[in-house]
Amino acid sequence: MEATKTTEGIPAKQTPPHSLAKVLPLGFTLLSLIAVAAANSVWLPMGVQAAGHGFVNLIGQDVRWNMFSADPRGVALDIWATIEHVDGTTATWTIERNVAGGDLRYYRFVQWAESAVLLKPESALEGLVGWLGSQSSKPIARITVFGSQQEPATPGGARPAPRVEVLIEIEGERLAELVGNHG
Amino acid sequence: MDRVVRSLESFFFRPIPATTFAVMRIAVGSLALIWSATLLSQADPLLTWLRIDAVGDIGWWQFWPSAPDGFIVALILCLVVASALMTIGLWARPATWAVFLLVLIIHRYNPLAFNGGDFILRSVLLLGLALSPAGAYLSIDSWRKSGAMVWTAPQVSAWTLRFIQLHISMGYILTVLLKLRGETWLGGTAMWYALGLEELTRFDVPSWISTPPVGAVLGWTTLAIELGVGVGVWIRKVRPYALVAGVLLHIGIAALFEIGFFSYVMVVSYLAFLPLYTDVRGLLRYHPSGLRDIPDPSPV
Repeated sequence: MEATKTTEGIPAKQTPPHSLAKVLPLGFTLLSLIAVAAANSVWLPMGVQAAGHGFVNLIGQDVRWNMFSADPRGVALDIWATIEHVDGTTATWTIERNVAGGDLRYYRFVQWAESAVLLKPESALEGLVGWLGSQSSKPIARITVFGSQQEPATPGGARPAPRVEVLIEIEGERLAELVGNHG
Repeated sequence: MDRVVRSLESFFFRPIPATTFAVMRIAVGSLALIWSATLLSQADPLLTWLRIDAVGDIGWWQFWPSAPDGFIVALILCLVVASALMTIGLWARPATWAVFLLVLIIHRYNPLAFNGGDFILRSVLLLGLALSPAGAYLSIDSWRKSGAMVWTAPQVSAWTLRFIQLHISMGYILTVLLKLRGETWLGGTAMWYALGLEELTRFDVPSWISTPPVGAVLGWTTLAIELGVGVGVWIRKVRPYALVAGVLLHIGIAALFEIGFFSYVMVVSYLAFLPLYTDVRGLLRYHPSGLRDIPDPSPV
């Protein structure tokens, strides 16, 4: 290895042209750029997008560049749960917004809630029921998780009423089983 | 053909001062430290009860799917420590790899709880810095190696800086192309729909701001700035203005929306385009007109 004279700073070691030490980084950079572009380019054939997703997942580069794209979601989402105790009392759970740490913590729950309402992932919703159950000091009869989607108004118009649906409702032995899953 | 190869070689591999890597390592390490510290108090339930099963296309990537809750909390504690080491530059290379891998593992336990900003932090900034000699300057490693504080940056290969720059630039161009596929951005109503997301907005914005003509101009300005950053960072005279416009855009986004680390991550990513001073103290003298006298991070 010979040293290259530089005008400033400490001399750098020079790598011979076309050596593996250059081909590998260059190849990796170009491949990762192509893969991220393919995974994010919804106009490409599904097979190409899937190949891009496969590669970026493999190297831990799964990244989304689609915030507020192609259009902002518009539909406002919310999630909450009612906890019915055996003694007949009820409690309600919602996402706490004004918590210590502000939006650097809050957004993660909102992001999770967005997926929970739109995708309804069974494992995560059952997990929510189990967690809510584990937080209660009283015996619980039933937990119901609701999700709402409120369509956007047209510009200048009023917003339509939200559409509320039951995402999951669990009681009895299944509830006890879920609460006992962690801890 | 030979000229193309030489240009590519010069672009990717010419020696540059390690200053930018060092400044980015400190900034990104600090961000990762705050990111992990804020996650620590949310690990239960977000990464325990609410995590998703290892199904679908992330299945084989979820590290130890049946891991007990305590293990995941321990991972976050390790992440706090690794982020601190990365920031101060102690065992910088392994620490940066540890931060990247731990964030990756944590993301995979519950990708539903993280947004684009989190993924850009990991996929572009942390991976790029893990591949780079980020601990070569302004670090405890370099201080231990030379026995004193070194103010003159060593020269290192530029390729990992190019990796970060190209991904950030391409990301902005991609986001514009994606927005142009919708109807609302060009149509002038995108701001109305975005600012109607009550769960994300910090306060009620007066409708005259979100509706045309003001809302339309704001939407078009957003597109213009995003395209300006994506392309303008490669044009020397335009670069400072593109970066300032980008910073203002992200300040605006952070002021309007509660979307966590997104704006901070994007602004920190701009450090990759700052002039490559050989001596970090030159950063304090930064002035756009001074760009003539310093090495240029882009060959264009």
